[in-house]
Amino acid sequence: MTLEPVTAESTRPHPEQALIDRLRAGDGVAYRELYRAHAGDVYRLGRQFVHSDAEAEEVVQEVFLSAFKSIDRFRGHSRLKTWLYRITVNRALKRRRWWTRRREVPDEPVQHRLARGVDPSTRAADREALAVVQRCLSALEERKRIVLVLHELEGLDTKEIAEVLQCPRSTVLTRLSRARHALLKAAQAEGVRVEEVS
Amino acid sequence: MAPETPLNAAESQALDALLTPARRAYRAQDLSDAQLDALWAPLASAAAPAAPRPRWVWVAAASVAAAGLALWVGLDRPAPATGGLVASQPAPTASAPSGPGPLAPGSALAAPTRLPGGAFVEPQGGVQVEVADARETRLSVHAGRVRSTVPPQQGGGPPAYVVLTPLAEVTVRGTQFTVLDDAEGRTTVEVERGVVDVAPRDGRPLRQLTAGQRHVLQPVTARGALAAEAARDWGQAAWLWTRLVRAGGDGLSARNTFLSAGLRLKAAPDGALAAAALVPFWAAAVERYPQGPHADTLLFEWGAAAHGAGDRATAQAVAERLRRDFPSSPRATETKRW
Repeated sequence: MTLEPVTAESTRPHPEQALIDRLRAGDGVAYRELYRAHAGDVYRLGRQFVHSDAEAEEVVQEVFLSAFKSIDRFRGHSRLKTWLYRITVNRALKRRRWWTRRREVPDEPVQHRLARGVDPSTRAADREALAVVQRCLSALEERKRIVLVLHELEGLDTKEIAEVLQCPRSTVLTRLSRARHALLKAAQAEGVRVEEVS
Repeated sequence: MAPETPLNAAESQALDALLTPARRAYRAQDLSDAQLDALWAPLASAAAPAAPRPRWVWVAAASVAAAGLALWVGLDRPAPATGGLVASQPAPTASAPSGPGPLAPGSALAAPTRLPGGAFVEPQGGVQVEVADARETRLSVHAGRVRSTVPPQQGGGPPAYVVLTPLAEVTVRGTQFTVLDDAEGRTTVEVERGVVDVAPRDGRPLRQLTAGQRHVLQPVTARGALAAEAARDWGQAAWLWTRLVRAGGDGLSARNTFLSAGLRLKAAPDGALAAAALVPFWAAAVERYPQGPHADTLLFEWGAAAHGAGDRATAQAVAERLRRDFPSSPRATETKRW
């Protein structure tokens, strides 16, 4: 076991401390606030790892149930969103593995997956690009897919990804590098061309 | 190329060209308010922290609730408890201590009892009242009568107190009312003060009752009575299903949540009874989502339930409709054995 050094960062008050205090005090309004602020993010992230929209909705409920019950164990070393993401990844992968062990469950088609909850103003070209990326991601091994989703789609930095995955940042950097290579390879198989840059 | 080698400029550019628009589309995805509300409904009742709060929180909450309750009922009602759900006799004053230890979900209540939110519950005629969820504010009444006095809730938030019968879900935010589940399977709700919502579990329209009003829900058909019987066994799962569908949730999602919430089918004492109870559920779902992305699945489930219940005529009629409306659905081929 290693002791964490006391740094200026670790002694700084948590930016969400007021909300955390209310959650710990059992404030029902605070629970609702946490849910409204992050349910969409949790759904979107969970959906990347489960087979259907319905499964993703169940992940949302599981994640918040788990968070509500374990808020007293939240140590405040990360943002609440990052903490929720950690629960989300764990829950979603657990569900996916459970189904995979028992039977083959085909993923719902990408078009259907995108049909839910997408802002109608989103450009068709953007949606098509996402469909290509999701097809490529589905061809990758799990650990590569996770870091790519968290970094390239969710926009988390490598430190936050390390918090979500509970691994060293160097591991995230290595995985990310390998995953980007794998994604490029899959994208080329989908017809994405790499032009020479002068 | 070694895996850790960074992508070259051209490769990075190609990936960025793909990822930038994909990221825009990805982040534009969100859940609608209706979807958020549908997912929140079961969370609201089940997600309250199980750990006991610090004593001062309970004392403060109890003081506020006691003051509100005393004002509302004219100081002639017992005060809310200062701890978890307790089984106790009515206490004469607002500062009375709580009774014995907390009751776990599933416990039966036979004596007058105060709940943490301030509701005072009086089972009558030896009725058993079960605590149906972890938050201990939802009671289910089986073959008996329960009179409730509920203080108004502070602020918004989820319903604080719900009484379930095999036929209905009675939601209240502050009132005095009685719910009776009688020997003929009827549910009767009488309101003495305030307002309650009576939501029939079989999809019939919600009724709002005010002071002095009385509403009797009859099982619609023999099958409805069976549904009520089975819903009594399924409890929370059936409640969750109807709640989600009523909130506008996706039919398949509702079904999946229903299944994973308990599905009690295997545990039901009589499989045919359970299937019969599902028939009106699926029929209502088909009616609600006739053109949804899972309409063929809903039809299939309806027919499968009828088949399982021995209702051959309904099963075959549904199968015919499934094959006619969704000829290419893989579900259509699964109906041949009906």
